[in-house]
Amino acid sequence: MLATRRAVDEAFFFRVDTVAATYRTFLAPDRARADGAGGLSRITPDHGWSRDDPPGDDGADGLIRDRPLDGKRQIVATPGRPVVSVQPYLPPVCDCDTCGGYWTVSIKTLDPLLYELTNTTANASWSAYEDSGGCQWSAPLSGTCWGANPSPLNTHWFISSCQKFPSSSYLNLDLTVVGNYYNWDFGNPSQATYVTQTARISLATGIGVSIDWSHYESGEYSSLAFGWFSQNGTNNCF
Amino acid sequence: MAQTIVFKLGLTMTDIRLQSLREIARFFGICSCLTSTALWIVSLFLNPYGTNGRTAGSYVIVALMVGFAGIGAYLSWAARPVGMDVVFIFSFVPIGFYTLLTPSFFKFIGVANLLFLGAALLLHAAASIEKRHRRRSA
Repeated sequence: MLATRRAVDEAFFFRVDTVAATYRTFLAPDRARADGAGGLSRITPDHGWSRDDPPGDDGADGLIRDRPLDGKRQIVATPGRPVVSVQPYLPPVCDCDTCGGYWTVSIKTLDPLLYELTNTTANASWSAYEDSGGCQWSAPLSGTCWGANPSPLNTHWFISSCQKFPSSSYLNLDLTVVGNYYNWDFGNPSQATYVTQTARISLATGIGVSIDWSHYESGEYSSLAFGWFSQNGTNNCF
Repeated sequence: MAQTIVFKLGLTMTDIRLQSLREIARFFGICSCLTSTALWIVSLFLNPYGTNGRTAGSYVIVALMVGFAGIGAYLSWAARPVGMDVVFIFSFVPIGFYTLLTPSFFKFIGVANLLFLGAALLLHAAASIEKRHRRRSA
């Protein structure tokens, strides 16, 4: 795109690159100034006006086809030439990472029939974005504990505690869920079986998502039950 | 009179006792397999305790157990005690044992497994008695 401006002593041409979002100011040659507005055909091609941004091929209109600027350079005219400068027209700079993801880690206690007796789940989702307030970070973290009460074989599992330890900062998060369960009506009713499960999800800058889990059972016939781990999720932050 | 018939058929009293023993073992073996099959199906589709915690793997396990029960019923009918021992081990360890310890009527699956073992042991006993009897007769 080309535009012209007429001044009393000096005439300037502006070349606006709407793709690169830049404009350049050209000092028109004397003849163009003398003629008034100075049509495009009268502009003398300005070779070598820039030290930093060498010109490309000449276009049919006689103007220099310049490479798009990256929007951060300011090009100074060659000494001895008329003052020519390029001022970038920049949109608001976005230095924020825009990304997101979610992850779920689940630890189950299964009996020999593969019936689920307990379940400890850690859920994390996150997103980094920019709004008028700058870079924003949203990371809702949650955890759940579940016990079969009753199970399909009429055993009852109770949750003795379900602790969640969430922490989050920009592009980082950590969530640990610890579930403690017990059962007393399997086998001898005076003896209990205990299960402790831990599910952890963490997201660290430059590392990505890492998960950790553990399953411990103890008490009466605890060897008949076992832990089962599953996870799913996506992450495009790192 | 009965003894006369028996001798006429070439059978001895021991043969008759062994035959009875086998029939009893076969009967209990088949009954125990049918019982466990029925209970397994109820546990999956008509479970009065609900379906909390049922997983896809549960269907596979129950299908396996029903399969073992079917094989067990055939082996009982054919009076094959060694095969019945194998079926008992696969049925009872650990699943039949596990059901035995639950506070539900599904513990009768474990009881049926033990009954099946009893039937297999009866067949072993019958085979052992027959062997001894033949050795003595010879």
